[in-house]
Amino acid sequence: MTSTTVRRTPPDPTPLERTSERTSPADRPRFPIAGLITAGLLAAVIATWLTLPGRAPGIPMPSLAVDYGLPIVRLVLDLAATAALGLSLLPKLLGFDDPERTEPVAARARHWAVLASLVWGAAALVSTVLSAAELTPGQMPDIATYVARIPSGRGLIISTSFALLSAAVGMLAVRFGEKVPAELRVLVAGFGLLPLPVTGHASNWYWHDLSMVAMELHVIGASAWTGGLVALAVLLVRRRDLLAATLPRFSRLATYALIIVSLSGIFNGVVVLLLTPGESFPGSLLTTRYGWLIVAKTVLSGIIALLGANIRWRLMPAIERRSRTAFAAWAVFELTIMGLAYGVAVVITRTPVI
Amino acid sequence: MRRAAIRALVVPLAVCAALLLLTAPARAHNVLTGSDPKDGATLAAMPARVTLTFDQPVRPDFARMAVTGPDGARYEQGEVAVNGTTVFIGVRSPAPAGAYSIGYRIVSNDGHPITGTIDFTVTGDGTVTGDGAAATGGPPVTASPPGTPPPGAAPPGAPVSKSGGGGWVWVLLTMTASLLALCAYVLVRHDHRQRSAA
Repeated sequence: MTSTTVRRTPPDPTPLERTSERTSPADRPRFPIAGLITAGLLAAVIATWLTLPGRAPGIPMPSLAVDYGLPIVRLVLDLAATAALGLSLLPKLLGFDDPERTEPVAARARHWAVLASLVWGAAALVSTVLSAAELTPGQMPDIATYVARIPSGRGLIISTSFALLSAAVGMLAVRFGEKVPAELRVLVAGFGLLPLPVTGHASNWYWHDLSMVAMELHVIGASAWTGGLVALAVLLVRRRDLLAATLPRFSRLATYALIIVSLSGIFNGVVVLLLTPGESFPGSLLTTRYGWLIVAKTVLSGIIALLGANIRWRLMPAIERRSRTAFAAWAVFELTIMGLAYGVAVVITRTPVI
Repeated sequence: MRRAAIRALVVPLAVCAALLLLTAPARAHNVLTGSDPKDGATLAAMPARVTLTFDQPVRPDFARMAVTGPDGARYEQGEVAVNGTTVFIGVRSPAPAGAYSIGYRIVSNDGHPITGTIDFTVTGDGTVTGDGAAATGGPPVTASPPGTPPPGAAPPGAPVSKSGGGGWVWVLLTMTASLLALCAYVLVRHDHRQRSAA
């Protein structure tokens, strides 16, 4: 206590600086996060319920806690990793020209990036335990076997390590500020995302590697896009000056992400459906539960693209003039739809095709 | 400007290299393509064993099958065995007429469980055709607890996978979890100190 009181006396911040530094509840919008998480949970639970496999007679099945817990934990994992990547990207989007104005925002981004990495790591651990429990219902989860035998187990462990590393680098950044390069943080968080697609479906196709790369691009593109928007919507919504400088950069990133994410997503979904024996392709979009999810996600991506275009062409000119816009509300709307897409995505990676 | 150009080249190359490193192994999702007896079939007599066929080789670990009879009793006998793309299990000898269902749960190569049911009816009230015991022995690899290569040691009806020496994993998990908690604590304290200093 003494140290803080001692430190408290010398600095005499000007009242103006103090008000901008202080984070009143109104200054830290919770709606984007709430919208993203609620929509994600809703979509994940509904999609899980729709695609839950029937009970097989005589076979022990995992409990409902595992059936629903696993997609929920995976959703938390994906969203936390996304937030960690987006918040690490924020300094790059803010630029380094005007550190005096960007530093308070960047400091908060660093802080939240570490928290997001920690949540990511914890979710990956819980996810490992639940996945192991899913394989051996009615017994103690055998994590050693799960990790040693099943590639998705290894993927989760690698992702956990990268989450820890990301948290460690993030802590250094909290301590030493932007001297810890943002590129390093982005790279660590990005590498942590790479093992995650391995935990989803993959095809046994000749061009398997191509579809894996497409899946990796899908995850990275979606994370950079959603994470960037989370960072903007949470940290920059009330800073019109910074938003005016940052949104055009983010917008360019989002355009690339949109192209990559939709192409790779459609490619992978169609490949999986095409390669599934016993179902003819265009029909299986409607006859299989996997096909429904692909259709649902395509529709959601279309809506997200429209919302993105709305921000890009209708709001951005006004934002660049620094006039008052409804950016906050539109960003919350877009993030809510993104949350739905994330929820569906989590279930897509788990659902058997037929 | 040149720096930006170099970065624009180096980053995608690094990403591609990383992707290729990480994506080497092939994983896939098994799909049931056939069964003997077929789903909905009506048989004169109970077969000696029931077989499921998948589109790709099946992992022997974690595979489970059960045959449930009209009286609710279990009629499978011996252990689940895997031979390439087929999974099979022997059937107990005095099997009454009625509706049977085969429940199965295998773990796909990508780590996802595949669950399903095959229903069939036996009309003839009689014995199993063929030698039921032949189904349990034979060339295919018997599903064995992971980590113990020679099969046959496990008693019939034992769970296919037993926990291996997994104690160290729990220790590792606990350590990682406490490390995460410590990080969170340090961060929150740092935050408090900064806020009270401001």
